Amino acid sequence: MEIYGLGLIGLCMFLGSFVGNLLGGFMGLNKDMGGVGFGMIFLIIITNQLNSRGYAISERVSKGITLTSALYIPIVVAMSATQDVVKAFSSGIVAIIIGLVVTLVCLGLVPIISKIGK
Amino acid sequence: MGQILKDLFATYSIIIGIITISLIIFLANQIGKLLKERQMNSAIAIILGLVFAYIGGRLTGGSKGLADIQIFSGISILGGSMIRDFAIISTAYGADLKNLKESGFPGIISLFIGIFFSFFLGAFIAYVFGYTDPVELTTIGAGAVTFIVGPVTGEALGASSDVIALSIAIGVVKSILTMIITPIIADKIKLDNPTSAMVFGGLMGTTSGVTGGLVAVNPALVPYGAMTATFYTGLGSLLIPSLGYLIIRLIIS
Repeated sequence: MEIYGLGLIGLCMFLGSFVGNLLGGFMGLNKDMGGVGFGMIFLIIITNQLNSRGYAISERVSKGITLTSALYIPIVVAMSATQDVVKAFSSGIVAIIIGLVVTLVCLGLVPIISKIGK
Repeated sequence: MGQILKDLFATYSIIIGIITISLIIFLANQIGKLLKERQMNSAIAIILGLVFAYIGGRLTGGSKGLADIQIFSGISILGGSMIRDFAIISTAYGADLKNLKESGFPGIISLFIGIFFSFFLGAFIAYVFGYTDPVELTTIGAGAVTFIVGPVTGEALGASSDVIALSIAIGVVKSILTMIITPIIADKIKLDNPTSAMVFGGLMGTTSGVTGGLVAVNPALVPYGAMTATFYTGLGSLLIPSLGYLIIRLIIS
């Protein structure tokens, strides 16, 4: 059943957010620290565990999950369409310069840091 | 008849949002076909989204881009954080634990380097532009981390609202530039495997920028980039208002 896929994601998202909030609480912040990251980890662990124990995830459940991921681009477009782009460009040159320099420098670091692991 | 339309637009706002996004993506795909750059379809769609956000902002003076125009208000639900986070998590499906274990170490390093590098670089440039107050420098540097860490830091430290607005602007510029520039230079920075995607996510940190950029490079890499990027804001929100501020204060005095 495709809905199981959506339910599984929802479960991971909820658990992840719970752990993120616990972590934020321990650190004295009332924030969800990395809940989405935890959610992804849970999803990966659960699906890897199911597969290695022989409970292969059915094709229909798979479809439910991949449908959601296929909606990712449209959701990002929707997110872009609701950004305050006017503010980004109107705060003048300072915002643009800082944004540009920081972006380019960090992008340039990608191949360097990637090598560290190898 | 006009009243029927008005009522429908209000009741079916999310549906209108879905139709609008479909149209924007369709338009983007046509442009991609025309330019013979099919792989940039996603990037073009995102840029179009930003263009419409600009138009919406200019027309209404609001801060929610296209969604400030009544008819298109449903888009803010489609692009809202709950649905977006749900979709982000779903992209983790199919990620291989083996790849993850291999990329673990560079991923964590890139997180810390990315956060502190962005922060100090941003604060330094602000200093060059004449900002000297530690609270302002910290807040502006925080904006260079992400557009959420900026205001979180600013509010925690009691910065004035124009500095907070500036920090958001910097974060948004970083996010947009990441989305746009990444597909263009992906080859040059060797962004073609899970490890570099995790490092990319850890260095850039802006979840919207990282996922938006990766989706146009290679959708299979999105989960790896998103994985590190989603920890970035949380970690940044923790470290910058505390450690970051302390260091800036020490340097200034």
